Amino acid sequence: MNCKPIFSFSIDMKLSDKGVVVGKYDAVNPSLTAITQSNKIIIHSPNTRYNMFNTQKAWSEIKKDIGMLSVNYTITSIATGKLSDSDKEYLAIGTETNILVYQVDDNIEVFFKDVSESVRCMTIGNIDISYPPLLLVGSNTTVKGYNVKGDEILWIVISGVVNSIILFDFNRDNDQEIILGCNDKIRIYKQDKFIKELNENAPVKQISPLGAQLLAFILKNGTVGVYEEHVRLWRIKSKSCATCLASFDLLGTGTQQIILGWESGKIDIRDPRSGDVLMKLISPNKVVGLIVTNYRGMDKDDLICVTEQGEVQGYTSSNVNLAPLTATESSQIKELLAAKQKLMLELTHYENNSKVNELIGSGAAEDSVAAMNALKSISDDFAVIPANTRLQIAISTDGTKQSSVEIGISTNNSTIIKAVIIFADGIFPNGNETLIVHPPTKRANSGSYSSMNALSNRTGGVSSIVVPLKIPKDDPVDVHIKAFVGSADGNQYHVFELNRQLPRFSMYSLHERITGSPKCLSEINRLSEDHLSAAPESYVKFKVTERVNRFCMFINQNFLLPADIEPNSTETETFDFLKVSLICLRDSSPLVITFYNDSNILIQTENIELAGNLIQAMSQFMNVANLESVAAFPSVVTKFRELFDKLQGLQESSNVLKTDTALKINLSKILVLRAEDAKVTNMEKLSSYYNELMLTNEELLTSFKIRSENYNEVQRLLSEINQTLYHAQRLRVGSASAKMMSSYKEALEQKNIEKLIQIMEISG
Amino acid sequence: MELELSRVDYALVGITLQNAMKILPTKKAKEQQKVVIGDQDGVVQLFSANKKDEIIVHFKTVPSNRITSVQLGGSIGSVPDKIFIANENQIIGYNRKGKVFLSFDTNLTEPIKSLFVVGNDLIVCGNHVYTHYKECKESGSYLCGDTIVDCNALCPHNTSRVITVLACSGRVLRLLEHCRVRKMIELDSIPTVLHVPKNSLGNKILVGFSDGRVALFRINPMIMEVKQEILIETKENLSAVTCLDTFDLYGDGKEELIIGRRDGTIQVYSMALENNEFDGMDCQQLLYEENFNESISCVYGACVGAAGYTEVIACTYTGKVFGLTTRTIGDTLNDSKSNDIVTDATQRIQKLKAEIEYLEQAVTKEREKYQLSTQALSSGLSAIPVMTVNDTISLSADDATYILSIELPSPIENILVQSDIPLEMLDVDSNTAVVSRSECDRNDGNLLLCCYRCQVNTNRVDLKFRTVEGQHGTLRVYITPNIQPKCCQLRTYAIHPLSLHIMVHKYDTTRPMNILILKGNFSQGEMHSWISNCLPEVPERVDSTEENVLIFKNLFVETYLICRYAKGVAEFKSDNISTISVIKDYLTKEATTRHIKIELQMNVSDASIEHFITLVEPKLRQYNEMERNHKILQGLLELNVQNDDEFEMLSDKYKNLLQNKQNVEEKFKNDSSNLNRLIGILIDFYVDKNKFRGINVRNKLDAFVDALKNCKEGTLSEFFCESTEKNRK
Repeated sequence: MNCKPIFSFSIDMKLSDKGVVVGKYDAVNPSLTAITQSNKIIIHSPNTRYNMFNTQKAWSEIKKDIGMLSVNYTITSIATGKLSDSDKEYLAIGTETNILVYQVDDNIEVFFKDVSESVRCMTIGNIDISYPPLLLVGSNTTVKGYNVKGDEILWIVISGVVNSIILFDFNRDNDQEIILGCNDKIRIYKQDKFIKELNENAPVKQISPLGAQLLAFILKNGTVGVYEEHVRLWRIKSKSCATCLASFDLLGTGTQQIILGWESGKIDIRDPRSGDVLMKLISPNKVVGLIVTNYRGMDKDDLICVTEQGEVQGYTSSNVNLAPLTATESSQIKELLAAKQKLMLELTHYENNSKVNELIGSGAAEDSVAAMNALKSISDDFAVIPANTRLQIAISTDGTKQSSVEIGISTNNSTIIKAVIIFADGIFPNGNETLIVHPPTKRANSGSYSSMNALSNRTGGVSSIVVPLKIPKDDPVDVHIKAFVGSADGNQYHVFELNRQLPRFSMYSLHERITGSPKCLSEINRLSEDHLSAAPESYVKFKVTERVNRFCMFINQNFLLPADIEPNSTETETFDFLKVSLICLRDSSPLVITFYNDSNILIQTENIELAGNLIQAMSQFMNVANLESVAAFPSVVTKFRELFDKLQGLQESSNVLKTDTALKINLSKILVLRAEDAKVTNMEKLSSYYNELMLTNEELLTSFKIRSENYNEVQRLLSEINQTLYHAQRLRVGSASAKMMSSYKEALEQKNIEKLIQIMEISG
Repeated sequence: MELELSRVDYALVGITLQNAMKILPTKKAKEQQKVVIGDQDGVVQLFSANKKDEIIVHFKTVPSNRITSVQLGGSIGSVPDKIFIANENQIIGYNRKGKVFLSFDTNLTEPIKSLFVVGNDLIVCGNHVYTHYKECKESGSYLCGDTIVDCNALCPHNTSRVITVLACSGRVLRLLEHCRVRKMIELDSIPTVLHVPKNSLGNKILVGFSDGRVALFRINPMIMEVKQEILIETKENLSAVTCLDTFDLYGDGKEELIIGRRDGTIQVYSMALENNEFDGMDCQQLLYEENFNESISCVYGACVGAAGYTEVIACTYTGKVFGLTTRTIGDTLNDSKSNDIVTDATQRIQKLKAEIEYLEQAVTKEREKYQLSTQALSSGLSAIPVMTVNDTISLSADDATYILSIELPSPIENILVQSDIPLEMLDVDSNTAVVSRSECDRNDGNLLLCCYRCQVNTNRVDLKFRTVEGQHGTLRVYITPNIQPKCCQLRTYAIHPLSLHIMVHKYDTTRPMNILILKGNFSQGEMHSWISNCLPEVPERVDSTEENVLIFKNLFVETYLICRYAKGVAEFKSDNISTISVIKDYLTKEATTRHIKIELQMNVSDASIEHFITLVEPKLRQYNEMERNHKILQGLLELNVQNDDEFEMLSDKYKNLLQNKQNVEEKFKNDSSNLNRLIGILIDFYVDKNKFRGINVRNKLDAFVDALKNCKEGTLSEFFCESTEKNRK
């Protein structure tokens, strides 16, 4: 079964995957708009011809239905939509340094705005029925919303890069929420109020709505998946990376399918709820855009597929329902046969197992030598281990000297562990999903082996392995452990599979080793006493209406402590405070959490991000909707001041540099003219003009380098400042946190750093 | 593509290898035929399909030893409908009713690998021994040094001669008559399958190769002349041929060539004809191609599903027997006036579902029993049988990389790859598994650790990797199938020090050679085993007791190595000094560990160095040029030339680049890593060359690499000559 395109043409230009959109610039006819790899924008408008008179935007017409727009800055994103009352859609162009909103039909610049941070993604739409439509711009650490006049209406600060932004009714309240695909998570905001975050293991590349119900996402590590509200329906990971997705009923089933375009040129048509592949199309080149629009001027939407080489193909919905055809009887028979084969194989395994046991059993009855020989004779063909072999797993953070969580894996007898594969997404470097431990393979008796001090035991054949894991973020991690267990000289191993979830704050451990039995409050306090002098001076303090038992539960569930904290029956009434003194395994910085008997909690740490994470986790655990807190982070504040000063200095010098460059460009232009003149009038001076031109050119180049360094530094500073603001905001929950956002904005406009710091400390 | 074939699944048997299936002939054409198949569980069965698409099993034996070959025979002149099977070292004959009429124990020391039956003659081959039986009496045998891959026989018309053809792994076809080698045909690649077209006069034989080629050999009755015609050329990433047949699918009197491949592809080609007889003249046309994701063990053209419709019938490694019929849905509807067909299929599905349900119950019961046995107090064992793994490792001639293909009868969950030498794993398009590399600790003997997590229902995986000559070690692959109870199997593959060499038959005698002569107290067998540890593809046995000669070719730089050895003396000649260096290092190490005293004599030829440079320099320049062109092209594309005027302003070179942009990009994509690989080889060469002269050039390497990267004509030879001259001074 195949699907043939109903139209196809080529733009004959290499397109970038930064954005392919469609806009109805004349309010009626859709025009395909894309960014080329040579940093230009092309508009394919088969139905209307735009009058491309020459403006500073340098329109040029290459073919009769393709217009091209050159922009002097590096284009990063484009978006189209209705931003005003007019039915004509606007084209918004985001670059590294500014935003241009452009009315294509009348060739009018709607607004042009310099931005301090490079634009990453944009969308146009209503965030509230009462609001006029906004242009929403996602950048490194902020999301901004502009109205048609270019006024900044909305401002949200977040910690990570925003790669994708859409408007979607996530919580089904008939209002659109802002969905952000960030580098670590999917975040959902209602206007500037944070609602929810969905954890994913890799940077989000794109998010896109599938109809009114579902939300699809693409991650940069090749994962694709679908959410229904906050429940993930499915996700799959593949070798190559998906580039774009759309929702369209290609098979004519009456419901929408999810259409995925891949780097390899493959296009999958999948069931949106199960992820099953229904059909595949192949295009020779990387797919950069999939768009659903009415492109033929008929009353029907088509699916348009755009590839990197500029090929455009249109597909229409099938008239007959193709879905049943994909699951024909013969393919059903094929599947059933495969299932049958699998079951039969498993059955033979069990049969053979009992056969071997009988053989050995009968041999053992007569004499053990015969049994051993029988065992030897089969050990080449069978993976033989004692049936009661168990794999024991111990997860600990005991080793305070080692900066990692340790997973100890051992067998309960002399069988050896040949190799261990640990699957866990998002915690290994370079986007890898596995850690493999393969002890040396020289034959030897079983012994203990730790990959941390490999030199101590070089004999191989081990029945115990310790695997250190470094967990980069404070998030819960699912680890899947597969251990290959067998005899030292066999070729076949049993695979033991175990799944464990590491708690959110597993990278924090007590200062000393303690036994595994539950500990009461006074014992914990005693443990902490010795380390009080090292307690950090930065702190955050807040009040919760919970009892100490609940707090202990939080600690037990979210930390990897060797023993649970369980208050005595008397202690719950009489205790003064509970002090848990911990150490971070990443940088051995101390963390002290104190719970006072008046339900005040004090978190002492130099790490403001950690404090925020703890507060967010605690408020979720204790169901706190609103939480105010008082914070003091002197070191963070000092750094913040430094960053702010530096930024202002750099911004000033960047202005100077700009004028300098403009002057030099002018000078070089003049020199070219003079040199040309000299060709006619004064040949002797010719070379001197050219020499001067060369010098100016070199200077321009140097100043360009300085400028680009300056720019990068500004970007870095800005994102650091924004991150600090974001982390401070996370020390509060609910309305207190939302209030901070508007206060921040006000203070930032006034460039009032004292006020900013004050907001951070007492949330103002 | 002209043929439209639709798949019909017939049966599921155990694992099948090459030659596991045969189609019984019928008296009239297009009558429904019966299929006989023997699998690795030792079951032989004969089945056919009735008009309702139901499968009727005519006989089925109980499981016994692995069946390695199924052949058909019969007295000369009659229809060959007697079934002969080979298991271990027994040959059993069945008639078409399943009655055993022959049970013959060959008493051979090795199990039978391949079998062929002509009239009263039985041709039986093990790994190395070929034995000929006439009426079950041994009439002679022949011992090969290399492995016999397949056997067949030619019976020239109007004679009673039987010419045996043996396909051998040492890249030769051996033609034997009366157990004497009458002719050796030297081949460029390893043969994998032999097929004698049915209607030929007994003078043609088709050969399939591991590099994907198919060739036709015409052999005149005197076995003096052999003409070779390549029917299917090798292409990049073409998988090995596993089975071949010629059959008239259209029913127009012309036979088509049907090819089954290791990667699961089935292809049908049309062939030009001569006198209504199969003939491999030029112009083949691809009629059909489809990939079934499981390696194909047998394909035939036949008529099984429905009378009157020809089809391609195939069985796969995992034991799926299916047909690709020329009958379309339209035909089916016409044939059966009612909607019988629908009910037939649904009936089959229901039957299958019932079977599966029954199996599931059985499995659940067994699973519980097994779980119980693993309880703490149990004293029993947990023994899981080894899963048969169909794996092949081969060196691909066009880019000098290794391809390891792994196939299991059940879906693969993941594959863990470990190696103690540096290997570069390359991406394979057909491999959809998610690759994840893990950090590895050199102290643990790990230089490569990576895991391939397969997508659902992946039964076979191709891994591609690149080796560096001079480094030898072991590649370990742990394969975990997705089946309960979970087990994994370890396969190990030795990577030889001269891993990029293959065996050839001839070499360019005009090339200047460096010579290494070893003398010492070693036997020929010892030297042979050392060589076979050092180089791939070495035959397991020495053919002659006198001087033995082996010739190898480096696939990447196209240099040769000639090994000539006898008891006590061995001579190695190569035009590549690095090769000699690797050999020398390896052999001295081997000899030292075995306390054998050896005397070394080196003869480095300056001419060989110049010769090597002339050999490599064009390649180096080509890759350098390619890289530069690619860079320039990117710039040119940035210019975005739009109209002819602008285009005309460019220089011819740039115009040319722009016009061939697709070509340039393609080439860069495929070959971009080769430059670095070549540079690596040249560095080794440079170091080795100077090492033999006693010069350490480590400090000069940077300059050397620079020279390589901006390679201009002559710079390379300058570099080498300069150091040569210095040495002379």
